[in-house]
Amino acid sequence: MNERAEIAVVLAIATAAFAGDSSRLFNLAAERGLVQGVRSVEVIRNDILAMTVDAAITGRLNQMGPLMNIKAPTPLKLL
Amino acid sequence: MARDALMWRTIWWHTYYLYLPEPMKSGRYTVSVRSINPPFKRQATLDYNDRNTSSKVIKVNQLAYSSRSTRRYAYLGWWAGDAGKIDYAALRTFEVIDEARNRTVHTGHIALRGIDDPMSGEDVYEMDISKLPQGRYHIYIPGLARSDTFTIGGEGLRDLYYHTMRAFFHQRCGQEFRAPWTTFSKPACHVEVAKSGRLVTGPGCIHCLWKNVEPYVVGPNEPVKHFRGGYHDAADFDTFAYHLPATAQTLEAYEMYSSAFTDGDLNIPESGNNKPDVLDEAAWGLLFLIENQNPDGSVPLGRGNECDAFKQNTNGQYPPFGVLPPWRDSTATFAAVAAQFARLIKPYDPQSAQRHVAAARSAYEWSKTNIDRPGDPKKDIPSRKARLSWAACELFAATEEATYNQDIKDLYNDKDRGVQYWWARPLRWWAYLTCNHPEVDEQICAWMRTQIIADADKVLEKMETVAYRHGAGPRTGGWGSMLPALQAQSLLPAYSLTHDQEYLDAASLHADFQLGCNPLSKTFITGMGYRHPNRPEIAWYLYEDPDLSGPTVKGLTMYTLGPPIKSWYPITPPWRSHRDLWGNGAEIWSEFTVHQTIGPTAMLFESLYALEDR
Repeated sequence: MNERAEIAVVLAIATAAFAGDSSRLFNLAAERGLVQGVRSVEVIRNDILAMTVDAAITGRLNQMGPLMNIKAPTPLKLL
Repeated sequence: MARDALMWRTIWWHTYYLYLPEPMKSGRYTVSVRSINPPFKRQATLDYNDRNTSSKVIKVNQLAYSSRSTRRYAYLGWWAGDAGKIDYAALRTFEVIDEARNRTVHTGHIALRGIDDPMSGEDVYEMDISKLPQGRYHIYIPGLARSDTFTIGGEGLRDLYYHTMRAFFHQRCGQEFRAPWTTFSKPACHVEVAKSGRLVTGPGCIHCLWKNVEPYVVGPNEPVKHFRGGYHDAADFDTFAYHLPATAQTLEAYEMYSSAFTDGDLNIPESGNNKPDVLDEAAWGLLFLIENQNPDGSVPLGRGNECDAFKQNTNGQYPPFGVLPPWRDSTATFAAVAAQFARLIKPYDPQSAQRHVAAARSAYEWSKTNIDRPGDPKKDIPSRKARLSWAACELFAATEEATYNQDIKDLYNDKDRGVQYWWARPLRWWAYLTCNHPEVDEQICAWMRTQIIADADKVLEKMETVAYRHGAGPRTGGWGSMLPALQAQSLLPAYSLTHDQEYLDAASLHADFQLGCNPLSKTFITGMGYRHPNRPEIAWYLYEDPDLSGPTVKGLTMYTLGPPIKSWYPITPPWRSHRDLWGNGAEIWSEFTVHQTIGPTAMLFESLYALEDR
């Protein structure tokens, strides 16, 4: 299950996006600390957690390429 | 600091809802995603204890509830994407913890307020915390979590007044930003404009981020004018006469509760001049317009630079010195607000009062003469008359001259008398309604009063038709039309006229919505609350990091909720429609303007602050 939130990114990222180079875009975003991975875990109910992850990462997990929206739940495992 | 060619793009976060096989117990939990590898963060820890772990699903006013309100609520509910609503039916009771004494001071029942609420996508529960006295608290729901800390009354209301009023200061055009007035930096901007309409290159020559503007070289004999005053519209830099209703709103609240406001209470450059800072700020709002009023009384629509004002108002042509031509609406609005200001500044500065009332008179005469020109679309005339009647009310209150009273009567007898935006009526009629002159027409006053109270009653009625109380009722909108403070524009005057607690309670409930009692559990005021806007569309120099990151200035109110977002997966409930994003088409949610958000919000918190017991 997922919902989306957004933040702005900066020049180099936009340039790469315009070039259509998604791998370079991902690397630039990562270099600038804009892609971090797991960002937060919050309590929604005592048996439900909300975990926020950069979509650039979840996109890779889904093998859909970076910065792409996922359309279906991604199976995640808890340790 | 132009950022040429900068394009604003978006990255996305996804929120996954993890359903655990059993409820958590107190202790440390680690969530790890095995397939995320370094350098990216693959795990996060959570120290869970239902007494100490806060959760955004318990929604409170994150700044301060009004202590004068007799209706205060916290809400419980959450919509979890394509998992739908979260079921909290098993949670029956809540406690309120007084943080000063670290003890439970209230225990209550968690009541179901709306099942399958179409606006939030939630089952919405409410917790009644109306009986709490002033203090600092949090809610504890056994088996779930605690809320964020909240206060009732006290310094929180003063902070809200201070920062939402200082939003005007931070939007000033021509004002240098520096200590001790602010921690943000900006030169006195847009102060020199060549006859060509181009900004004179220099420290104050700042442009919108997206404009690639070549430095302008002033011609050898080209005149240059110096300007000051007025407010930047939003994140762009044009200033407009149609910002003046925001100034009028702050003055209306000042009129209602003038003893609450003092010189020095806003820490602005004029502080210390023995005039209340609220009035000093209003003077800045009028300054450019009074200094550039034409000899015939007309008042410019505003002034712009190489940003978007020219496109909107002059077909892309630069007017001389960047000053936009007068409009009839801009002139009538100026007449009203200049007269209002003159009346209020008179005890502190009779000369300023005289100057402003003279300017208001000539603007009024020009507006009256030009109200109906050959070829005017008939549909525009009623709203023009409404503005003229506003100016007549203010001028009569300021001068007590019979001619303005007669004009009010004539306009009252006009077939278009009722044509006003509902939220504008109280502002435009207030001066006449509260004028003590013996010639005030009682029949007109009774009609005005009835209209204002009827408008406020509609807000009361609609507010109870939705789970999260909001006078808009079950609808959506954009560009600030969903701003909760907008609803208070009729509630606050209705309270002042009647002293009926219902209206004050409702105004306060709208403040609560704006400050976190909403489906998103967010505040919509920059830098204030636990979940405030992160990337609001405000000027870059109002971010601590000019890359538009890091903390922002406090006190700017965003457009709040917007139209439904139907293109996202999953389809978002209407009142979760918000994009916290600079640019990229998100302006309808995350931008703001002086007149659409700053003014109504400042008036709301001026009033709630003034009403607090001291």
